[in-house]
Amino acid sequence: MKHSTKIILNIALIACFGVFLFWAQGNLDGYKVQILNLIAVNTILALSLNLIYGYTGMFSLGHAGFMAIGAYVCAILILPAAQKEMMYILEPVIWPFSVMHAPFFAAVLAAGLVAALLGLLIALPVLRLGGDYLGIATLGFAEIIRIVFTNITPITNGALGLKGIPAYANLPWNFFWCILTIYVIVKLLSSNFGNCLRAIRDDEVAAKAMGINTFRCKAISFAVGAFFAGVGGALMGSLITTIDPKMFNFQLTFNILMIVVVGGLGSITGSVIGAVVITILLEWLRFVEYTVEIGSFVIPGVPGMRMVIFSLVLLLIILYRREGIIGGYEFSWDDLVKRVNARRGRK
Amino acid sequence: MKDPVLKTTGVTMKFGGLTAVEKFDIAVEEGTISSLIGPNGAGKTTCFNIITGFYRPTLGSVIFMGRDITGMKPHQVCEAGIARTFQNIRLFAGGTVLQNVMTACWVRQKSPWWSAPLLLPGALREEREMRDKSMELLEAVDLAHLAKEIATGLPYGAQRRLEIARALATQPKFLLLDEPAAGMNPQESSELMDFIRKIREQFKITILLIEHDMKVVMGISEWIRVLDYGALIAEGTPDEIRANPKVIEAYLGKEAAVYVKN
Repeated sequence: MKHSTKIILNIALIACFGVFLFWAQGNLDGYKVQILNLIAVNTILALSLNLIYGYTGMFSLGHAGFMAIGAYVCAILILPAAQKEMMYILEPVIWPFSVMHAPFFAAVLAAGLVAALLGLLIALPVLRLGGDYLGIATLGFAEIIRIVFTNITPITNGALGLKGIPAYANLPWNFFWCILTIYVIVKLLSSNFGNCLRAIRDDEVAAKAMGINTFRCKAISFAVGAFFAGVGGALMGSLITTIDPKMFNFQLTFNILMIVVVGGLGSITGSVIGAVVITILLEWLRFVEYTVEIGSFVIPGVPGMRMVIFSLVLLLIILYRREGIIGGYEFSWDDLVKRVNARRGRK
Repeated sequence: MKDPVLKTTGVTMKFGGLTAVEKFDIAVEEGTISSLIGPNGAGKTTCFNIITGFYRPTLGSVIFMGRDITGMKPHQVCEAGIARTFQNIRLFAGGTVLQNVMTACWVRQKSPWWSAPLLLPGALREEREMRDKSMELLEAVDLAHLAKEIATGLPYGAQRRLEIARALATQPKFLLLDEPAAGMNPQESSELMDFIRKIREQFKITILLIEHDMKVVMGISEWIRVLDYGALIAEGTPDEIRANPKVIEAYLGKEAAVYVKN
């Protein structure tokens, strides 16, 4: 297929999706729109983790930390000064955070950049570690961020968190950032730089011998992943309008890791589909936590039952389908045409 | 005599109390094919690791094309023009044959990593050139028809050739081959010898190899160096090495003496 045809098809696909979003905003109820929003944000987060873990092979559990940074940077930038002054009741907000203000797009961008910068800073010492040690170190980093945010009250309002964040993150914004994330990550990974990242994942020694500055490439991958995690956190904050440090615990990282593993490590299509499936299931499975009455029997609802089910699903996937639910398949127009033709040929 | 392309002086490598390589002095002439042989554990691979920057020698220096490369990082050594293969094949398992070779082109690629999402025309052009160059290289090693296959799915001999092609993609001046004929049958290793001679002519490179297969070593090398217990015990042309009593004692043994007579 010609390159220009593919571009037209991509644009057409995005346009169709835009029409769907327009329809969804007018016709679906708030709950369903919220799920669509969450799908967009989770896709961003899953892709950013997949870049770090699935493509570069760095086992990172620090995503909640980057999200926290993104969420706080964005919230402080979009909250009006007067509202900030009212909200900080433990200790007054200090200058310049009290007067900082930026439009939503710039705030999200700044959130990503600050997260990327911090990602780069922790990458320098931490990326010398490999495998499980890296996981533990990044997990520790995320915890440090959470504790620091709880304690720098004049900036973050401490444990009380930030409330009434302007809800700018609507469907168009979320999906704009989602599509931008997909675009950037797909382009990076399909370039030769992407080959280098995969090479580092597959065999770091050989990658070094082939002239790849593995430390630099890993740091870049980590920082780009952190950037999009920060963006995801910023959108998440504006979407649910309330953030506090407790929100950014390990559970959040686990949810994203689950999407990535279920969708398939090292598969972009997998991460997108994983985000859709897991986000919908997380909502739909709520019924298992309700109290159930069968005749005179009453089974009390167990809060957190959903996560037990998800853990079991994750276990089964790791055991029986390592490559994820769609089996490492990567969507491409060429492949689609081939499949359609093959089906026609059979008939 | 011309200046050697690679020269090591007094290279010594100690791991704790163990001296793996001691006073390793070699001078490799440009455009030659030479071998480094020795019994198992003699320190051959350690020498390779020192030259390619994976180990920093305890003492001594490595000079490549008049430039001191001692203590450089492996990727800097590769950038300077030394490429290598590994004793146990180390391909990028998840990638295709073409991706394996393209990855090695990265070291010569000038456009920065962030140029791809921005669709910079210069970067796109360079990417296409790298792809074409990689395909040419695959054609040269007779793997072009397998370009889209997953690298580790290839037969053993083809994987060896691919590893060499990948090393060549970094545009080296000097190629180190660590046991290229390991695990090959006589037919395959004789093809490999022709192949190594061919790439030397085609890419104008100097080749240094470690090998246990004596037929390959004697058949291909213009110069042989023998290492035993970390020290060079002899060097010379294949005929000299064959006749050297020290070498026969340390390495080749009686069996080889019979081989020499025949």
